[in-house]
Amino acid sequence: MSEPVLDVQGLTISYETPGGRIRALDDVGFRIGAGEALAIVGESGSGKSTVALAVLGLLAAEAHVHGGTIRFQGRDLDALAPNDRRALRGNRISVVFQDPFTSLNPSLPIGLQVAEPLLHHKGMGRDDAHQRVLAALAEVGLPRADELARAYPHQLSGGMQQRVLIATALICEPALVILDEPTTALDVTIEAQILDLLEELRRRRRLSILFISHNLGVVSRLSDAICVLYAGKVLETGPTREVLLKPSHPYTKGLLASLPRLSAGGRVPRLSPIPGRFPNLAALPTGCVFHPRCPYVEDRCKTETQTLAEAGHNLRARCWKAESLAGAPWPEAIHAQSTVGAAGERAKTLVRIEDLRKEFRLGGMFAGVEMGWTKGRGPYVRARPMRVKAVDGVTLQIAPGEVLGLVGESGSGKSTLGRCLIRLLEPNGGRIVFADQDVTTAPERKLRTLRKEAQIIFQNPDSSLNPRKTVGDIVGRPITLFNAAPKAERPRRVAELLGKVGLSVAYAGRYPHQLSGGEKQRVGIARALATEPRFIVCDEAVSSLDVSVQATILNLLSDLRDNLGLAYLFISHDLSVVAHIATRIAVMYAGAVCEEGPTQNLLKPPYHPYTEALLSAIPLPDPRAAARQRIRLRGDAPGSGSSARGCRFAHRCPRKLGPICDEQAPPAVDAAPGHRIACHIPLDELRKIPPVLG
Amino acid sequence: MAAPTADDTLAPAKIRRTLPTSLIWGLVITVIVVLAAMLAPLIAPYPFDKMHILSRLKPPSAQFWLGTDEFGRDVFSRMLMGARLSLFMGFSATALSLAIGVPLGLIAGYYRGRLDEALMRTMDVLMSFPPILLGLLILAVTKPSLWKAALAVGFVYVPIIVRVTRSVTLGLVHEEFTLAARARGEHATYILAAEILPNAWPPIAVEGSLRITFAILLGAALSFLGVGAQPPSSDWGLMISEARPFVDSAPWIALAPGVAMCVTVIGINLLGDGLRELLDPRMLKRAAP
Amino acid sequence: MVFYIIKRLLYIALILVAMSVLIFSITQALPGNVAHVIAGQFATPDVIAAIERKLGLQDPLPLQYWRWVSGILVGNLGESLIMERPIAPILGEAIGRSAVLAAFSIVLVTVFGIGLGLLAAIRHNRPLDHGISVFTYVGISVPEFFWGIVLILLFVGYFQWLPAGGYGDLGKGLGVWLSHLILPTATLTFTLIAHVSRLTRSSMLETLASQYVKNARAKGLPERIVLVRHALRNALLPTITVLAVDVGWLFGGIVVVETVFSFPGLGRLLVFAIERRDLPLIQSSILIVSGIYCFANLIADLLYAYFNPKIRYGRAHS
Repeated sequence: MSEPVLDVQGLTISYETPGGRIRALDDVGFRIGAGEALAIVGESGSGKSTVALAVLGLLAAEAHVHGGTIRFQGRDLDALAPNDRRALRGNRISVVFQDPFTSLNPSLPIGLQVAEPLLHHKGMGRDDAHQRVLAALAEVGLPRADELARAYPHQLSGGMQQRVLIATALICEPALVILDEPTTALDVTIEAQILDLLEELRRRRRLSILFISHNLGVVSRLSDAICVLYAGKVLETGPTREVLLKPSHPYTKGLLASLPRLSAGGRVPRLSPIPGRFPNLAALPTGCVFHPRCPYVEDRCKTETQTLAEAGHNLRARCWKAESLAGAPWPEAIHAQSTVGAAGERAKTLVRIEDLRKEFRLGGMFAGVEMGWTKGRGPYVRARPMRVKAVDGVTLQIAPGEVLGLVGESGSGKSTLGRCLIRLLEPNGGRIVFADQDVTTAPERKLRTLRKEAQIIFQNPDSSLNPRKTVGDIVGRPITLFNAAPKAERPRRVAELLGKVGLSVAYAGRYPHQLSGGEKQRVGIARALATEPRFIVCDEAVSSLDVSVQATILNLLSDLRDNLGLAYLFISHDLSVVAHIATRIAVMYAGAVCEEGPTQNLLKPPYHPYTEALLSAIPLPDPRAAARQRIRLRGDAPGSGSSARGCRFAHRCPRKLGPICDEQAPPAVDAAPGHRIACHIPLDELRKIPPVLG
Repeated sequence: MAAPTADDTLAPAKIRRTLPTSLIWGLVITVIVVLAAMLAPLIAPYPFDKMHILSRLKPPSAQFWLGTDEFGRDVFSRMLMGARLSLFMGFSATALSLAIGVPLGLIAGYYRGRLDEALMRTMDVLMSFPPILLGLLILAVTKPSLWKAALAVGFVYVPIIVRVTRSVTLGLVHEEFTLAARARGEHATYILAAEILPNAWPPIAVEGSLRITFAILLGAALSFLGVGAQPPSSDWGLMISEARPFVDSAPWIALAPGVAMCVTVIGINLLGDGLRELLDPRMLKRAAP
Repeated sequence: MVFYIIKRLLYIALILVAMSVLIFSITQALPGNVAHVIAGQFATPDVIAAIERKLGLQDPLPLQYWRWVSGILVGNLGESLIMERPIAPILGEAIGRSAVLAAFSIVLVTVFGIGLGLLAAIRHNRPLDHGISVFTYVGISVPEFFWGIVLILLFVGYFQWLPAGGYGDLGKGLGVWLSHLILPTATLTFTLIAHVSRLTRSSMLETLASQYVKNARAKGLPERIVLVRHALRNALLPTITVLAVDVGWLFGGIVVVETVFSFPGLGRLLVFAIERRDLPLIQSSILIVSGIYCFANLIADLLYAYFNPKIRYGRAHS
């Protein structure tokens, strides 16, 4: 084997923090050969981004390197003078960071930002560099490169910005590219485009890649080998196919079992998450770092430090039992019994919205006036549309005990819809009927039923709880407000609610900052349950959680639905999560529902071309799925550019029929009972579309 | 029923960082100044307005620690009593601007819409005057006195407090815990008082501590210009103004109140900076005059 | 951009109208009736009534306001009650002198304030940073009038290098003119340099911590390029706004400093007018100063817009 491009051995790094010394990386080692792509996978806190910074030589001042070597093409990077190290950065080793929106300098033109590595590493003149920049921008699929080079970052969409950053990283033809969560901040259809691009570039240029991600699906598409990181330690490493299909370390098994999987066949009723919580990095457990959460734990694991050892199938795992556990499946979660026989009730409707509309006003005093200068014709003044239609004529129904999934990308209006539904926003038109009461325009004092019976759970665990209140106060307040229990009963009621969401009474006295993300989300759920609602809007309720935590919360929500007969409007950008929990799904695009139907119907043809594209865009953590059909959308700005009259999706639709799509609103066709598709393409044609999922 | 699954061990309580040094120094200086002001009548060797006709413009000595002024009044005693006036100025003006500004800011940020627009445009107009001019304008129309100066200074700083409070409120209104409160039909007063205000106070407190020093300086400037405290008051600004003709021959009359004011202001500034560092390290950028 | 300028101009016009109303109504609350002031303490009611008639003080307030504002619009600021001369030339002369003071100060504040701030940020947590911090701390804590007196004590009383105050006419030579400007300018700028440099420092530190600066470093650019091309420009944007706000502070400082140094400029004229309750003079000078302040803010806004591509080039081209 030839010399590896990057060879990291025994890397140990800690951070000095106000809370004490935190060990970010402990004896981390890996190699990347020429043309190879290695993925470092881990949840938040695993230390994966520290690896990238260490290789780049950009560690923060608080970081201490205790040991280890980083060799790049045989050279020990730590032995290099700072200037020599700098000469490698952006030249031989380059990086694409996670957030394209903040990674570009807002006050410099794109062209210069892409050209900079050429100017400073290759000593190229501006004119020569400019030609190379245009070629590079074209290579990453950006149209009108000449115009783009003169533009500023704020004039570009997120997907375009990320393409620009990729072009910058590749412009000096580096020997190693570090991709640090390059698609995490992007919408799923844009993510798919960027992954396609990276895959193509990798093939064409034989790039060596260090890929850092939390998403096993993304990793499965883009890497030859995987290195699983947990609390700063490599727990398992091996070829991608083996790690994903035959994992040997219990953590990897748990991680994979936690993922909601899409399949046309049927959904897994419950996920099998990893119990417990991520360890405190300032006080790591003794022995194996994973032992407190491991279902196969033995006494030996608690004291004995584990080493990375051969574990069959070309894998190496940091677990002395790995070999014996090789074929063992992750233990399945206990199945909760459904106590509600909902079938009878389903016929009724709990929430009904008809033709709901919500517009937002733009800007301030002069927002409605547009003034400008036309060359040769002087100044002009004209009226400018002041409103954005966030929700534009949506009709939906939710039965008691039913979970309606609402899927869409950013800007689709799904959250606005959810918030209008429980009157956190005032709709501009249409009707909302809750429990047979029209609540569309009812004044706040007449909304008592709605306020009590409809609740909401939010996305962000850090902002959903008031940091100045204890958990007990947070959960207890709705009880007080609705007088739901006599005063003496309230502490007991709070304890009961905490029990329902799997927290002990001890949590009542704690403040939100003392809780982990998953625990905060549980408290948020307990608060929503405190009013004894019948309906809950789950607004991206699991989106910001790590996979293993996400799985426990999804299970909890399913159990609560089954035990309490709750109905959910489950809003998410992630179709696999929605498909896991929802019985019916509505797909939203640019303010309108383009398809709605039972989950099983929605996952196979006939479906709306947008649903097809969404399904096709989801990165599956299955190397065997790599060859599946790929439907890619044009453009990357949902909402803008859509015609006022025709189908909103027409300008990006890969199956666009012709002018009819631009000129006429698509009819809603019933594909099956309860399955509507709003598309001009005849149903028979849609049925013939090959399925995305096998 | 879901079995409790979450780990029960307490997460390590957020470890209190060691107190910022600026906070400690600020506290020490401020406490000394406040104590001196409170105990001034006990410490001061003479009444602040007692004239020693025979000992005019005397340099510092054992009898008069910081010398005497043109009327033979003890500068040290006057300086001590001046601390009370200065602190009164700083705290009452700030309290006034907070009392008016915080509710207005909360309301503007919470209700948005026309009310917010009207309020903020009014604040824009008020802020279009350089602060001292607005103070001068207000004081020009009445018979000057210290408490009126304090009122004027407090009024001048209302727009700034409104702006700070409003911008914090704007952020908190969209926080999910506020939305959760609205989703269960909480009354606006509860939301403002129990959900928003407790989270809005750190930046407001920091701004308030800044306002105190600015109020002390602005109040002293107004007294210096003759539209604040009136003779025979021992206000530091007025003392410096009265000392101007004697700067050459008796510099101690001006130096004593001047240095006292600097120490006070530095102390409170340190306190405010320390507070800011303690409450929110990311807020370091804000420090508008 | 054109639209932006027009928008700002319209807005400033509105603000000026509102300000003039405010100034007029506050001065109307003046207790000592203007007529009393003119006629003196022992005037008979007849005399007072005559003066009121002459000045139109019995007309309805809106009419009086209109007379005042329309006068200003055609450059007629009325007549000073005390000096019994038209206000416009008095103000003009005073503004000219103060403008010199202000111009010197603004240049010094911009150069030294920004310079020290950048230096401190680049040498973050090193001795130079700490030194500058101490200096700026003292700077924002010392009131101008006291600082002015200390300077007088040192350079006039002790060293006897400079004149204690007053105004040196340019006709008497450049040296005389300058020597009268040094101390007032030094006094005026001390606080402002401290303030600007503190804000520049924190703005620069924030920019240096940004993701795009990290990205620039990841491109392997030399530190000099990272600082100048990537950080500086973005860090200075908020400083522009701060400078404009400080122009307002500068006016406050001018009032105090001109009093300390007996410098016959706008500030002293204003204090004089307030002491003597010269109503028309107070109204006009405050309106003029506030107007200048508004335009300083406008210029800052325009500079900000010019250097900020988000405003200069508008929204996304979709």
